Amino acid sequence: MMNNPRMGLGSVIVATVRRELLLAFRSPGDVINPLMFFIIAVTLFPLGGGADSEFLSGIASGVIWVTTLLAIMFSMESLFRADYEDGSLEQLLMSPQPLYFLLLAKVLSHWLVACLPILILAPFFAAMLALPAAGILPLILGLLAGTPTLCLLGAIGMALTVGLSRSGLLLAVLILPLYIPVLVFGTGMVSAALGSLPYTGLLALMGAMLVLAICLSPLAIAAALRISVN
Amino acid sequence: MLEAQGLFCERDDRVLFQRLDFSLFGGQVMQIQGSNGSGKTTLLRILCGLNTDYEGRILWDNQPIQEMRTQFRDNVFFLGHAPAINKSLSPLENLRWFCASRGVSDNGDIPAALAAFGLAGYEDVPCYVMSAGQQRRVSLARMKLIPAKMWILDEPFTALDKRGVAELETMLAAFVKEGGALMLTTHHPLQLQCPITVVDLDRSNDEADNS
Amino acid sequence: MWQWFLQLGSPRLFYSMTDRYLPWLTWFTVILLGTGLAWGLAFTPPDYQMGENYRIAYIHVPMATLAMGCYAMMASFSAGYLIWKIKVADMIAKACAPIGASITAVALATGSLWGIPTWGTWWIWDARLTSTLIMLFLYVGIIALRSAFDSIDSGARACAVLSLVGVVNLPIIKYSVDWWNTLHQGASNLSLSDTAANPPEVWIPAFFVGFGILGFFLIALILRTRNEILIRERRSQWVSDLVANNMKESGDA
Repeated sequence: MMNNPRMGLGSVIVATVRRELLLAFRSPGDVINPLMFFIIAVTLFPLGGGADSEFLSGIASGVIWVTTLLAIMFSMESLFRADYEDGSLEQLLMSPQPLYFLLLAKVLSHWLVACLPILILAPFFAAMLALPAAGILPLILGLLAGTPTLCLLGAIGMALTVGLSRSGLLLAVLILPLYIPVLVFGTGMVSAALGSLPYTGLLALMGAMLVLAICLSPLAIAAALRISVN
Repeated sequence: MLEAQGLFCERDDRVLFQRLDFSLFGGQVMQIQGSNGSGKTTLLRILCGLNTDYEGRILWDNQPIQEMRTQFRDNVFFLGHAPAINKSLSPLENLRWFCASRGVSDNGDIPAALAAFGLAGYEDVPCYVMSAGQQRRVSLARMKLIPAKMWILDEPFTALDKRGVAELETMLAAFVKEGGALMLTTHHPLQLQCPITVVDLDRSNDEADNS
Repeated sequence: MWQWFLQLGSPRLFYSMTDRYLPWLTWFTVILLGTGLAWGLAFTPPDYQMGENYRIAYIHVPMATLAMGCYAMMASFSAGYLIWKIKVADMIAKACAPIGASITAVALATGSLWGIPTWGTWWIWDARLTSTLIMLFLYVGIIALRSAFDSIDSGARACAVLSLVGVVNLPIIKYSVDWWNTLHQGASNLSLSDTAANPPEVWIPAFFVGFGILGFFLIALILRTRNEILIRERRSQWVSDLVANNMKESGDA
């Protein structure tokens, strides 16, 4: 038996993030599919509702937020599914390292892979939907603060349903109601900015929700994963 | 090292085992026997803390295992049915993350561990091109990489060829000789150069029924 | 007290205790509901603003309150199940979900019926209606999750975790919907007028009906829980004895 030196928690987290990014690199669909879903779904709204720029600017922030939220929900499948099926999840749950941080690292990498590209494209699509320039910055700040919360909440739902064979729509039923506050405050920030009102208070609220989600959701994810491998 | 007292488990209204007592020490091999569906895998998963639907007590170093989780996980290697190998990654990448996720630095030992299972030169081949037996070997190579006092192996010989089986047996015997505790299930007749304690789940249930 | 609490965790004891108190509870409920409804619907004078329409509040308000209360109750029992592994706690939590969902649905239906004469439309995106609707979604999610699991224990634990996640989120959701509503609508002044301003002949029957509906809720909850107990304990001796006894009694009659 070899007696190898121990690693600090920091390098454990870095190694986890590196693995997840490597996996995303090997199967680019995990990055591209949520992004394509976002792009196509956003395109459907002018086609279905009319290209009148006044109408579009009214719904722009809502459309961007709702499609982002749906893209995140659909992307959740790739977070635990493969690990559950190949048994890596069992090994993760048996790791002596604190599961809290391992899970946080996994969700963080998922955010980098699935959300960051959407965030980068969001301002362009907001402009295509005729969102006035004053609304762009609050939209991006809101997405930046809100999407990690959405990933963490989605991970709870995914962890609960990963052991079930057909879980796609069940996941939606479970987590979409929990997404409402982020949606409300995220779009609220844009409306406030367009009405020349300060939106920093709302941003602070989004930040508070993110902190709460970081503190509590890994515990719920861990509990849910233990149920799922049982 | 590991002790079970009065374990009871039922699943879907069927009692898998009851009043199961055993203890496992370093340098000892324990084979869990039983027919299909007798609860061998369930027992191993209960001991690993992956399954919590049981009654009775499990002790690790004479303390309730619930209070010893971290020490327990630090010292146990578990091999389940699934290989826990991601097919998009190479053996090297898989094992590197496995070590890291347990907080163990691999120190460049991975190629040696792979070579010990006859996979020298396969370090960077994606796992999806490897055969089931080769993937199994990658999975097994993990036990060379972490300092564990106890190995819990569920059907470790599955998918291995004759030579692989012999090599694994040698390795298991060496582990036990060095003071490791080994618990395993297998349908393959074990040929280890050391005494084997057998826990028969079918019999434990019958005895409990008759008493 | 603690001992008593843990004892109630035994399904058998829960069954026999409720056996004793259920008739009392039923009579209380019938009396409360009967007087309250008759008084409130037939004898209380009509409201000067809303006329006869406001009478639906006698059902609507208690249901809407209970919708929230039932969720809190479900979450508490879920916590009890997760922490102390009390099986009855899970059975009660399981019973809470469909009852809570029905109550929420009734609250929504009566709310929108009330909306037709007062607001001129059966649905507006009023803060209360909207958060009640979301409440219904949460219940539906929990019911769907439980039914998706084959294993009773896994389903129970998963639902317990989900209800706890829900109960942490519920105040945030409610707050966000209230905030959203003031942003988009301006606060609605169409709510029930202050209880303090109402004469006794309005709020006394409301009090009666409120407790009557609470009693009805408890009866439904207890009956469902007892049913669940019988199903899960069907292999135990006391359930077989009970069934044999019942068969004998019905045979005698």
